[in-house]
Amino acid sequence: MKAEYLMRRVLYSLLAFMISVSLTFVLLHLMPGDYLHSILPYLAEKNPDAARMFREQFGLNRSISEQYLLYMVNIIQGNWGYSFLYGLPVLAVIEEKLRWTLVILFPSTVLSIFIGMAVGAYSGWINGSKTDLSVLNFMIFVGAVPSYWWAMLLILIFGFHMNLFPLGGYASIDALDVGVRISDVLRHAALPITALTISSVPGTYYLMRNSTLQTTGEEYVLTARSKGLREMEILRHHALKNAMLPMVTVIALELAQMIMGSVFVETIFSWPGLGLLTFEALRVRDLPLLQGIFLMDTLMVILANIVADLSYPFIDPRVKVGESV
Amino acid sequence: MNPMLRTSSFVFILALLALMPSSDAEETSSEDALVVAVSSSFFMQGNVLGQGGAPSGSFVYEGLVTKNRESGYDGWLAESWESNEDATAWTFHLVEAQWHDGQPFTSEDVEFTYNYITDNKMWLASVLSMVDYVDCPDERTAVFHMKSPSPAFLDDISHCPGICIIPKHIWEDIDDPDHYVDEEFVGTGPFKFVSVVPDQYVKLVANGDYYGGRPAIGEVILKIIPNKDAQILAMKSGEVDVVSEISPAVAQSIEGSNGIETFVAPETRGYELGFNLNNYPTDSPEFRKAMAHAIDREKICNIVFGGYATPTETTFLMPSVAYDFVNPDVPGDDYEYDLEKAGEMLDAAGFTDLDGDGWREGSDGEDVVMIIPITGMGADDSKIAEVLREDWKELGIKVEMKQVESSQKQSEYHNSNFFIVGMPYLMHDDADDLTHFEVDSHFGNPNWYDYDEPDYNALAEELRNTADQDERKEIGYQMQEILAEDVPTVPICSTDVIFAYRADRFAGWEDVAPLYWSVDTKMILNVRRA
Repeated sequence: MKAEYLMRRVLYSLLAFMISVSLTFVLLHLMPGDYLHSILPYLAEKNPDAARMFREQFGLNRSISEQYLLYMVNIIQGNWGYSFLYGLPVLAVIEEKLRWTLVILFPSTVLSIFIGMAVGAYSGWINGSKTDLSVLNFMIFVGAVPSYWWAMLLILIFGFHMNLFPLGGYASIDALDVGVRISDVLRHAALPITALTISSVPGTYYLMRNSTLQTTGEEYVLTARSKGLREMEILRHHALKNAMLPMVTVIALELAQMIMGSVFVETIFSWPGLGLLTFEALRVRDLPLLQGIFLMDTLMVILANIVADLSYPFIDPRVKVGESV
Repeated sequence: MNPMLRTSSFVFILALLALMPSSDAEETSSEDALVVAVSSSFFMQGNVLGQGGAPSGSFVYEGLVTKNRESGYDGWLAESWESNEDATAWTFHLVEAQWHDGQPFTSEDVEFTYNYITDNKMWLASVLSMVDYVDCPDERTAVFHMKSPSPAFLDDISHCPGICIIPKHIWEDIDDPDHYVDEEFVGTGPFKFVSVVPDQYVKLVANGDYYGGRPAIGEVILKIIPNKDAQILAMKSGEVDVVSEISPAVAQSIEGSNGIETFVAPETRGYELGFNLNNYPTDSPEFRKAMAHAIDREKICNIVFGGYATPTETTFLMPSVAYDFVNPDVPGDDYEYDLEKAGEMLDAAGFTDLDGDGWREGSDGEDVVMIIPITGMGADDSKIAEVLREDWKELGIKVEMKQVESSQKQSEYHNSNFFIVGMPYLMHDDADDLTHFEVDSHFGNPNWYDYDEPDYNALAEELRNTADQDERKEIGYQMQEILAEDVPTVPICSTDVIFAYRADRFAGWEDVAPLYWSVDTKMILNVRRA
């Protein structure tokens, strides 16, 4: 039963992926402008010969349907094409940037989930109290301020005025001679991680607070209270576990989406991650690279969904994956 | 909550805190190196041929000649050059130089570069399309044989995108230049490539064997910072020594603080207002002539460019770079700012306010609306258009801005009434640049203005086939007279590029103007330690 469900799930995901590939292809080709016009606008205008030769050089002179078929075949074979800008295979470019994105994204996501869940659960448990309201309002404030503002504030205070952290990039200048060291990278990553954490904590907080609020009225909580358990123990052992369930899907999707969402923070900290790459690829109309990035994002969302679904039974034994009720 | 996860996040925060105190020492730039802030690592991607040549921004590669601001060319890998009488053959006498790996540079490298680019059908070959073949009578001489007379050949190979010479002994083994990722960057330039930290730094050292003499600066580090504000902040904190292309507002706020000084590379971009001659009402020559009097250049220079601009009134060519290519009798007072006169001329041309609503109507009885394509609020052209809108309101002419996607902008010129464009001074410095207004000058495509004047086209053709400088100048004069009469374009101003640098570390910046708007080879060769 479970194997069959998994098969079906994978098949559907594959279908979703293919549809997404086609949509991305169509949308990107509908987009006005091209690479050459973007990098050398005057040349392309003064000398359409260059534009023609460029199209021939990269096979852009073929019909759209032909390009589409070729693209689909190549995707299935694992060949995602070459970036115009880098001259490297798209996957290699993405992999390199994804690594840097994950360096700041993974810690900040983990941090924001823990902080958000802890504060959210507490806030929801004592809902209506003064502490709850002040925390709630504080979180609304934090969430309302855009991430790049936090990033700039952190740079100005801790980077520029206090000179505790570097202003941007991932390595100090001596990396040219001694190579990139982990401690150096971590020191450069501290502020971007903090900025990303600050900007994503409120989201997790709202959800967790709401989720906890719903459990406070449940009968098992009443039972636990009547047994004489301490409040914090009820929260931790009974309420929290039930409140966590809806969080799993949200967290999984959040992880997948944050990869694209860090473009502002990456720009401000000159952090060469996937967000910055997307921005640059879009600016110069590097179509193969853009397609690759969007496909990677689609893959992430699909994978995150599957993982979330499959992990339900581990958190809540009542849920049985793939069994019709 | 899982206690293991809780512990690990706690450890992580501790680790972050532990990293804090170790910071101070390293972040200042290395003592001897000149650190230049650059906006992207574009120039390091793939290989030099994939990036559209490297005439000036590269400190590693070189071309044959480079344009100077005195209306001529400076030798680069060619120390002298000449063409035959009808400009069908260009001979370059090469310097005695070495590649960075020690191999001698010879005319074979020049021939190879041409053959390689054309044989591989790279789009860069379009720049060399008028070349028939290249031969090398000896090691120090390369001759480009043209398919037809090409007096403007030097112009073509020296800018936008320009052709740089590549080493034969390395590139002859590379079959697939589109996908070749260079890790050595062997050139002939004053600096050698040493190492790179991807997307962060590029380290170059002085080439001790450079034929032009060893550079005064021993080491140059390019620090990649995409965001302009972040570049300024990095300079204020001492991490970089020079930042290019900063805004007038920023220039005023940082001048004098932390040892920072600014200088300008004067008149690097020429702004013009172009009319489209196919669309109503700009198809009327009287209308265009009237509007030529409705441009307040002083106001635009002060409001839009913060004073870092100079009004220009000569037809397309800029006197500060084109010198005597500029016809001194043109345009007379045809472009003088005078709203009253403009109003009278519009009245005479039949554009009057008949219904008294404050807006002029044309022959069709509708209000006259001028449409301009812009790419976004805050760009220079939209700011200029704002100034014009205010002025033209007084004149009774409506201005509408049409938001377009940046790469679509140039094709939108054909669907609107007017546009504003600021091209590099390199496109305003030679009679040859006047062919910009020739019909189908864009390789069979109409020019931006949809301007098509048979006499003008004939002159452009004549100019192309004339090698003699004095004759070219004379033809250029006649072309400018026609332009002043037909007014497809009205000059606005030329703008400066502002640089900021750490005066306490390096000196000599302001003596040399760059080819474009970033720090280039010529500038860096002139800079000394302060």
